[in-house]
Amino acid sequence: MTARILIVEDEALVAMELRFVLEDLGHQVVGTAADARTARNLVRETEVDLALVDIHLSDGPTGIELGRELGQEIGVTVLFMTANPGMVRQGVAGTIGVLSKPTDERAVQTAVDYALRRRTGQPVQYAPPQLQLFG
Amino acid sequence: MRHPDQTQIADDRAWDRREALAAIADAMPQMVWSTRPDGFHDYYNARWYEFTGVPEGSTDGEAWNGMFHPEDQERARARWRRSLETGEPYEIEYRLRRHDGVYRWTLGRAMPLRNEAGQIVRWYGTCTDIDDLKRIEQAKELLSQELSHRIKNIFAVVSALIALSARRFPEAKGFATAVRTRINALARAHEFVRPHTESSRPTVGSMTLHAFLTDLFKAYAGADGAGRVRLTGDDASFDDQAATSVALLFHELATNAAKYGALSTEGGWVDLDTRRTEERFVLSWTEHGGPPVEGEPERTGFGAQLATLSVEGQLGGRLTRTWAREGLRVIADLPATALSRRRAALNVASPTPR
Repeated sequence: MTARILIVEDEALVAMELRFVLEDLGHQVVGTAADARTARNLVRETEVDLALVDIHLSDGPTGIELGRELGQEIGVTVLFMTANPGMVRQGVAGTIGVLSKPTDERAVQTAVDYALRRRTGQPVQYAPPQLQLFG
Repeated sequence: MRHPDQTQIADDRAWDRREALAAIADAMPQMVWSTRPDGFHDYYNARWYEFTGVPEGSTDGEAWNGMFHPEDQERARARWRRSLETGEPYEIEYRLRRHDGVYRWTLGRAMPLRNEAGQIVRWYGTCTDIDDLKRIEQAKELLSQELSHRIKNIFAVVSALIALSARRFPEAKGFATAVRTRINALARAHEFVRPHTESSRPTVGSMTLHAFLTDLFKAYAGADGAGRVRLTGDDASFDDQAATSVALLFHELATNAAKYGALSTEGGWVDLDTRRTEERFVLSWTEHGGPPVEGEPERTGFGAQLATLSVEGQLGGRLTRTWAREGLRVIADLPATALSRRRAALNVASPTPR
């Protein structure tokens, strides 16, 4: 299934490569935000199915609260992508889980597939091994 | 002959000892205090009153506790009580309120004075301002965390750069993938390296070899999510000097097994045992259930060369491979300190007291 995906990542090169990976998988990247405010604006203007959120953004470690908000209050399916998965060790309400950076294409693909299946209520058996689920 | 710096004594009569001691205490740069054996504070020197700005006598008895930061009060009371009960020297860090309302980190220490029967007759204590030291410690801590974050970020950027560059050269895709997976392995290993400041909180669950290996092998889990590399034996921590070698060695072993060995078939698995002895640390990798092994390959692949270089060059150990029919077996025999050379070197330079 094709999803509308928001990338929240402040390293432009990492965001660019992630965009290509997602587009190769047939998804539509609706935007890239480097900080929490830009992300919130984008979500207000466009429909977003899934957000891949880094924790450390250009305005500080604002990704956690942003992810929670997008998940709990706006209904976006949220996956964290970060080099510091320990920062969300306890889980974040309203979000699915965390992928450790650096990832590879296969890890991104399986994680996105899993998250989208959860979003559309389809049955899921196992989470991809590289995706740390919350709760 | 009177030294000009000595406190002026009126004359050579027998001094009032208490006055003489008080004069010395008031001349000291530290805050000084004293209590009765039951812990009742009945003396503070001039420094205490200058620092705290409180009226003379207002912190007698138990009132000293109110000068501490609310979060430190209970802890300090408990610690002082313990010293009073056991007679053991008192030592604690807490935040003390200065006359301007600012809390400063302070080191409080006290020793008992005993009579000939061994009973405590007095406690004498000092308060030393350590606030600047504490701030420096905290700044170092923050810097260490920031550095760690930056390093991880750079790995991610380099990996992305390679992937992006390879998109323009389709014929280089295989090369790019091979390089990226190795760099990603390095990045993951560095996440598990113990930071240099001992007081750093680990940001990942635990910063050890087994934690790193468990994380690395997640990518090779079976369809049902079960791990296919069975890890046993002694855990170890590893420092940044060893991180690259550890990452490359296990990345090569796993990739090779996934392409040609035990991890390339459904039913295959690997036993990985890490064992510490007096002098050595031995890693044993044994593959099972993969395609039958034909014997030693004719040429050594680049990956195999990397693994050998990491173990023998960087870590100063010995790498042996046995191509048993049942599966490849690889043994990395390392000196006990190979994974934490930095700490071993520090211990030699300034040995920790036993």
